[in-house]
Amino acid sequence: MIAESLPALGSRSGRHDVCVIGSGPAGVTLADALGRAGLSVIVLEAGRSGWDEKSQAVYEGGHFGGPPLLPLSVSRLRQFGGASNHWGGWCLPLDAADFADKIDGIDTAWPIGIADLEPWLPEAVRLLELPDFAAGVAFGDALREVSFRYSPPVNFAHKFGDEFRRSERIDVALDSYVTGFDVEDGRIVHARVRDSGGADRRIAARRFVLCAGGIENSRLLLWANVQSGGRVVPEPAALGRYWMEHPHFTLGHVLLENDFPFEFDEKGTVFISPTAAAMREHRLLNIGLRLHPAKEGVTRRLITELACVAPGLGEKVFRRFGKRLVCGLLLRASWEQPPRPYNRVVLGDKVDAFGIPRTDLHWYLEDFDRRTPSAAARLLGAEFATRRIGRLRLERWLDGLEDFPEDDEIGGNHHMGGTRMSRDPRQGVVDADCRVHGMGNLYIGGSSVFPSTGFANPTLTIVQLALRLADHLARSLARDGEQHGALRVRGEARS
Amino acid sequence: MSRRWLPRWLLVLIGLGLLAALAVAIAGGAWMRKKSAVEGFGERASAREMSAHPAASVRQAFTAPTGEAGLGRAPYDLVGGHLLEGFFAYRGDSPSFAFYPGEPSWHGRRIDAEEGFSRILPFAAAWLAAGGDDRIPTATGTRSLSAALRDGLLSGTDPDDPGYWGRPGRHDQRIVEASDVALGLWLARDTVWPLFDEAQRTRMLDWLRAAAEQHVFQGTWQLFPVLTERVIDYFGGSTGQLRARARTGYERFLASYGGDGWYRDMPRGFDYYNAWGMHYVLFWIDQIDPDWDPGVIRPRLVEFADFFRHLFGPQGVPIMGRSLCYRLALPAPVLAASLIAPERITPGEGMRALDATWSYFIARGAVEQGRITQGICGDDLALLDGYSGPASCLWSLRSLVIAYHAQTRQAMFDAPRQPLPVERGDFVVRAEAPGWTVEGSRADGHIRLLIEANAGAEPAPIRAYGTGNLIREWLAQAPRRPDNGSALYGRPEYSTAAPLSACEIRSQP
Repeated sequence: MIAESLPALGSRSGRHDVCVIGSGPAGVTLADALGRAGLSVIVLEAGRSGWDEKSQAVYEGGHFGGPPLLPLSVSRLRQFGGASNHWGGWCLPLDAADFADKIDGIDTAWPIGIADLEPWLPEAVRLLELPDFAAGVAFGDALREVSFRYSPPVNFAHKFGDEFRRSERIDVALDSYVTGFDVEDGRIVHARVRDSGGADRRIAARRFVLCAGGIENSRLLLWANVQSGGRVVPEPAALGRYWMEHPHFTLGHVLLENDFPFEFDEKGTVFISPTAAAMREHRLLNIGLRLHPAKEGVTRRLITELACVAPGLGEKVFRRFGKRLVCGLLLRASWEQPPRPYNRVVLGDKVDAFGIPRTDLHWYLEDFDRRTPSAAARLLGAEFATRRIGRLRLERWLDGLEDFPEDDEIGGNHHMGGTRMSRDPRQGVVDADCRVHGMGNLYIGGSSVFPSTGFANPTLTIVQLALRLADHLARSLARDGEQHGALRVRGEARS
Repeated sequence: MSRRWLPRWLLVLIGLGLLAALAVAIAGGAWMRKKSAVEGFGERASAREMSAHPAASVRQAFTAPTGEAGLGRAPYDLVGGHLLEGFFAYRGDSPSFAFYPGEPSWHGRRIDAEEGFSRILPFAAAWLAAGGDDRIPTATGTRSLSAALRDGLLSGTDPDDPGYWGRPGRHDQRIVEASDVALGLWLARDTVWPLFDEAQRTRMLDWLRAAAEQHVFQGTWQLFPVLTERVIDYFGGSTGQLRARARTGYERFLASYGGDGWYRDMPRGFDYYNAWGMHYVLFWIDQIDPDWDPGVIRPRLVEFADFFRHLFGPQGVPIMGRSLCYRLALPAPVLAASLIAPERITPGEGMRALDATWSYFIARGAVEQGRITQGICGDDLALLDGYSGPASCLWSLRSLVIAYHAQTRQAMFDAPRQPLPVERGDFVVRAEAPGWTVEGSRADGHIRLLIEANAGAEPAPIRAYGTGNLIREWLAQAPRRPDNGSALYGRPEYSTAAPLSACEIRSQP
């Protein structure tokens, strides 16, 4: 059932097999899969069923660094369904190369490989209502064309709401803000929950999974560690650290000389990315170069075409009128940042309405964040020149002549890292099973466990990881002597 | 022969056109000038000779023959007195500003004058802490140094005072100056800080906090908010958020580490900013908070200084890179390392590097008219960066700040001088990270710095400051000094035998 608060669950708020904290794509996928495996699940959602101004205000926080990201209370949603209430639906699995160290000196390796996630791809594709993915197509030696797929986009609150309301195994309590944990002998025994009236309650479960989001997971654990004297995350060296975004910027434009050899997809985009060998050779991380047809009015197009003959002059004229010169195609990109320990979530000085410190997000773009798009765009330019497709005119900031532009998209609102997966507890927060290092029954779901990001939008990977975690939890609970079987989702058709 | 004239109406039209073009050119020039003009560019303070501590006496004290005991303390007290007298001589109506004579920076006159206060403050504070006289004789009578520092700090941090320095903004020069203000406050914690009441202390810490929270450029700049925050924390004014931001800034800075104790300076790479910038600030962070990161700061400083000390000798230092008017600060890391690891670098060697450097440059005009001159020897606009103003070069005092600070713990000035590497024998040493090789010749005392990355390059000449620069400055009302980046960074070799700027030894009185 779905209850407006914990007390409204009545006797059903007792001990469950799994307590899932958060109801975004990770939490809902996990709860659904666990319920289907016959486990009892309670989902604690801090927000309400829809957008609520007071609840949303809890997400306000600071950003130290630059360039400026969207305000933290805008880029996230604190309500049932979480970020699936406003996501765009763009999906692509991570590359095999994304799980390895791509270049020397930058730690992008995951403790798992693509083979550990691939079994969950068909079910994730089905949940997100995606067409099948196509393999990438080589474009020269260094590049390949890749194809995104688009979810409708699935809203998890709408898709699973009715099912959860009817479910005997899955209980959802709204207005249930987890503010800490009770710990005994390296295990969580209760989640401490506060409602908007300020009443505190405790929820018991055999397993606890934090799926509160790519920033909240870190914030809640940092705060829980403050309260518990470091007993919730006993190995906190990496907690909140290695936080990442996908930088999103316009790199330049393309003056076409011949017919464009690609077909635009349904979003009017062609995606090009480097091969693993090119990343190694040219020392760049993964990137999705996006080519869009320039949408121009007739007059503007004529002026543009003239200006493109003399781009320097054209640029000046267009700048004079506050316009951006676009010749034929717009080249945009989103790419992978190196995981950096100092890009991190910390607890700020201000507190939210519940007395819990707000987020202070430390996030910087550095010189290397220029290197990836700059090197990739040059590879594309060389290939276009070789094939006489056209020529690229790149923005000045790519050469370090200007700062990163602040009037661009800047980030994709893809909040990743902070509780990264690692073999070594000094390098991360969770192990390969997403279990918090040093804790017996505390797990983390969502993009906060990503050790590195590739360039693919994260939701598909989040769902794959949630399905994999559900399988692990079902198996581990079964091993604990319970009568629950392993999760049967691989290739299983649902009614 | 008949002559055909243009029709009169056409001549009038052409004339009007020319007049219009002239008017447009004048208006455009005026507009450009207004746009590029630096605040107060045309105003220059008059230079004054110091009467209580004449420059000639200072030169004499630093060039008189010395034995193994070295210079001792007296010459340093004399040059310190000369510069503190200069501070009083150039102090403005508001005690938070000092309008030194010299060429302005692109920051404008007000920031230049703020530097006049903030850049002498750490020295003045260290001077007081080391038992230096609070009463400074000047041409107009004896003045209290601690009272002057107190008044300047109160005025500069009070938004309602005409001498308010202004709230530090993003990438603002005030962030740099705030770190010197913070260091000065910490060094004056027993002398000036007790003079403030709670409200005044809160106001000063608020101003420093505004600086500590700002965005900075990469490189040395990243350390300024860290030092400032550590001082705020020392005085009990920091918060968890500010502390975390300082830690993040510090960790970002560490990414510029190149190995062997060397940090990359932005944008040029390895240069002497390691000495008077990075290691200097890191040393103070470690002094203020010994628990901050001693396992990183101290061994890197000692490793750096162990190589860097080879650059000092009686014939000077092979000068290269930007901000050369800070040249007197070069021994700072050697002195600092001698405090951290005296078993590796003795205080006697640190003081010998200080003696040699100050003697060499003072003999050649580095200290005149109560100020540090704007060049390698005397004033030299060819080598003065656009960001440097009349008081910027007071960063030269950074080696003295450490020496006076050390004096509060041990008899630093009396440390028996130990010979420098070049005074002990010939040597060749190499630092892999910057690709620098230093060669010393005991016979003539000269030192060569060979930069591997520049091997084979044609040595670029120094471009002089000429009439063209003067005209451009007049038109722009802003510094338009020559860009000598190639000569300062691109030569394969820098040596004391053929310095960038040939300096004459000033005549004695």
